[in-house]
Amino acid sequence: MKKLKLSIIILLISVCLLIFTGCWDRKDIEDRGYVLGIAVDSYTPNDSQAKGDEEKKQEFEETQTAIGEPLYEMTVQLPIIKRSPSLAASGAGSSDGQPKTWQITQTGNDFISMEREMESRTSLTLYYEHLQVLILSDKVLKDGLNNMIDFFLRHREMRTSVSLFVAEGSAKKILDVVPQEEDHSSTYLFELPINADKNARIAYKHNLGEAMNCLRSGDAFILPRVEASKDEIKITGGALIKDGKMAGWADELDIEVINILADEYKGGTVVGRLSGHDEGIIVMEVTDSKTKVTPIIKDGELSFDVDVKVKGKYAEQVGVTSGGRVDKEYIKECEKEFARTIERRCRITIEKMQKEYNVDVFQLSRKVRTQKPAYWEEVKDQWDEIFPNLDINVRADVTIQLIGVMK
Amino acid sequence: MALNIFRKWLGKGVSNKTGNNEGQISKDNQQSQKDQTIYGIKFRNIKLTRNLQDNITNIKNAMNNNFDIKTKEFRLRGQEIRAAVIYIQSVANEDTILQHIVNPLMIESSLIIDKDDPILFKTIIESMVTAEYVKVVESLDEIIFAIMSGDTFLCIQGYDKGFIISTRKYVGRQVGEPILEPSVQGSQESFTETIKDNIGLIRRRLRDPNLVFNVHKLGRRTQLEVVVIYIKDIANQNIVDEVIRRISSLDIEGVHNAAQLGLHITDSPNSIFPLFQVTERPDRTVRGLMEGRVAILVEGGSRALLVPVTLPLQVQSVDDYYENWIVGSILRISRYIGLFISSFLPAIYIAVTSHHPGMLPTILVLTIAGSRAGMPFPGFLEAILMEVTIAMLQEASIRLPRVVGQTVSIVGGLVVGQAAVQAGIVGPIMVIITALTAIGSFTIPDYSLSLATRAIRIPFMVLAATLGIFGVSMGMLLLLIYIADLKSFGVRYIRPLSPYRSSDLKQTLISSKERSMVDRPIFLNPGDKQKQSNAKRGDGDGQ
Repeated sequence: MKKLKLSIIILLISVCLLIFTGCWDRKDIEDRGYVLGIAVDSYTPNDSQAKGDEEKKQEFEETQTAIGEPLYEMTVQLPIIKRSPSLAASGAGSSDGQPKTWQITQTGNDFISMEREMESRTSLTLYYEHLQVLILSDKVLKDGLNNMIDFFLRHREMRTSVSLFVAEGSAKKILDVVPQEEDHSSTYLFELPINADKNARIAYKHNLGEAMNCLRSGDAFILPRVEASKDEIKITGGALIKDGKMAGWADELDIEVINILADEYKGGTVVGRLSGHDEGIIVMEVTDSKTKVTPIIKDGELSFDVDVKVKGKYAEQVGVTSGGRVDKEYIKECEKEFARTIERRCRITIEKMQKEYNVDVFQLSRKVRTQKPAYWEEVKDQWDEIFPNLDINVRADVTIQLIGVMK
Repeated sequence: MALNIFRKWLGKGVSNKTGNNEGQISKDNQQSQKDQTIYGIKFRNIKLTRNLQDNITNIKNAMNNNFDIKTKEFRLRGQEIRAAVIYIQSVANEDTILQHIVNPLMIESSLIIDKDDPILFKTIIESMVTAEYVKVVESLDEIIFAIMSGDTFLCIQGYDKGFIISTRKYVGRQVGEPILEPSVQGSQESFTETIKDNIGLIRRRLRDPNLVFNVHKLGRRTQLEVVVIYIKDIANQNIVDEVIRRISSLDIEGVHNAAQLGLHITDSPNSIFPLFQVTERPDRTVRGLMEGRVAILVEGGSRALLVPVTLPLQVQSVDDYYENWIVGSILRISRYIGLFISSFLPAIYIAVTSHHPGMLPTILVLTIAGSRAGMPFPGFLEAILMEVTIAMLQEASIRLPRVVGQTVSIVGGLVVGQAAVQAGIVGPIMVIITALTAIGSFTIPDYSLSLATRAIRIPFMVLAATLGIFGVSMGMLLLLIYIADLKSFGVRYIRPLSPYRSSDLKQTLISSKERSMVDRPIFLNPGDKQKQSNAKRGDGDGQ
């Protein structure tokens, strides 16, 4: 009796295991197509100049749409995994000169159809858990990020850690880059922002999850902008996104300020000029920084106090003849000059964002919402009118901790 | 001491008692068991006659007149008393027989024996036979058993009684080095096939008068000695009783080594995990005895059986105790990792590569995919193929004579490893996984346990191939339930992991400071709870 009971339980468990699990998608590791990067462009009609094979390829890229006209062009990048006899024992690799990636482009007006259409062109099952970068062209962004991002947020295999980038013009071209060191342009691009702690001019947060948060809460944000040559990609400034649409470009100096106000000022340099040394400049390397943004309501008027505390090293001087003497007074003087530079830089960018673009890219709305909720309830519908006229006072406080090694 | 006890049970056979009332029970059991032996059924009721020639014929007939049964007839000197010794040449020591039995009786008897000595028997035992042990017998079963064991039967005309005189010859190899359980710092002695030597090896390491040897005869036909060994004031009496009860209630044809006996007396015969520990190391046996466990030796087997056993005990090695506790713990933890790898690594590899490649770093995925590109078999089949190959290799290297054993490693290493990869039949990553698994299984000190990991490996691989990591974790859960339910002589197999007791855990899971291990692990319910004095070294007596 006891044995019967036990065997029934075991049977039940094994049946449940088989039925209630979603793990039937067994597929060997080499049969999947690992999509490393996706580029999304807006649809452009075919170039009728193409001939022969090129023409055929363009034909492939067209998806027959059931409803409406094609709007988008999606390009996925797959690594080419080839097994060459000589490298059999050493694993992956393809010999020089041959392409290491395969870009598949498909047009259409919804992404899932495009993806399924691609499956008819590859023997591999597309697999997105290793997706690293999503590059959007500025045209797509101008049409609205909200319109197209749903597929990427809803997809089971895509993660919120996918990095978002914006390309001016064609996004597809970024994927076509054949990088010098990495095998795939996507991994190359994914690892570029690693140096954000050395260079403050790289936008700090730009992944799918963060973008999704901002889109849902209605806050403005920036996405890093990338430009490409034949074998190089560079992060140059960023795209300002407001209400799910692109509102303009921010240059690299703007990004620095945006990072300072977001308390993400992890590194980089500050350049100043001392009075008395007409041509000379002094440079500080930022090692640590802390920014406190405080909303203040006085007589019903909102203003912001921004306190930037920067610690750094005296890194270099160009054309300065301090006589080799770096004493307390000199350092004090330098600190003051660096603080002035930071404040000046901040003022320029803040004014640009307020007056030129009217984009609250510093996410000050978030500060008001969380710290002054009652006030936010009053003004949330008029934030676009309030933001350009906000009084934002930046005070920088610089401490130089090290002066370098003198030989 | 060892010899005395040994002699005692040589003669008394099964009637050794522990002095407790359960000794009585076991004696009854043995009585009924003895009836079922070959001797019991056939010869119990046959007694000796007063006619010497009849006796000789009876005994020889009982043993089918085999060629090695030797009979030497002689006369006690100067008298008309005929006598004979019967022994088996191949198991009896003929020198002893001649020197200590025949010689005194033939040559010196005239000085002592009167023709009408009324106490002839007593005289012979007390004054003449100089052999180790003499016993008076009258029924045939005892005589035949003694002769079969190598003793000599002395029979005298006119008496319906005879003598059994111990003349056993022990032919066996010398004490050798441990082969299955080598150790770096530990002793380099291992048990031999002779039980007398084995008991000596234990005695020499443990001069404790409370060390008890409880002797049984086992097997309808083999009738080999089985010795239950324990330290009376440490071992839990319940466990000892249970071991004795199980051994004496056995009615089997015979066992020839400890592991075989272990299978007969184990709690769950279907368990793939060994619920008894087989060891060839006397030092490990002694350590087990001092922990309060029971050791069992079988005549003719070169291993000792240690019960009860738990999983953490099986992962321990004697070397753990010869190193600093930090180093010892690292050694032991690496063995736990080996146990885990050996059981689950191929399953996890299959699950991750065929179900969840998203769990691996991108570069690693591309490397593995690259190494597997163009492979004819799916990962699961590949793993099974390698598993079978390794199993065959391991088996072949055990079976092959040592002289040609080298060939196996060359063929196995070169052909399977190198060529299969180059031919594109097996991926290089799979070879690494298989090798790691094999290495993991070699770290487990208990051979049976390392075979058990192989037995659970393949079901887990099937689970991984069908259900992915989900299947593997479900399987692990079921396995945990299963082993938590196992018991070895009433002790839970995964004690002290569960039920949890931190002080026991300190001694079993990791290796603890020898000096701080004052108490014995409580899970065996030892009698004498303290191992050593609690006082710190260097504490003055004057305090």
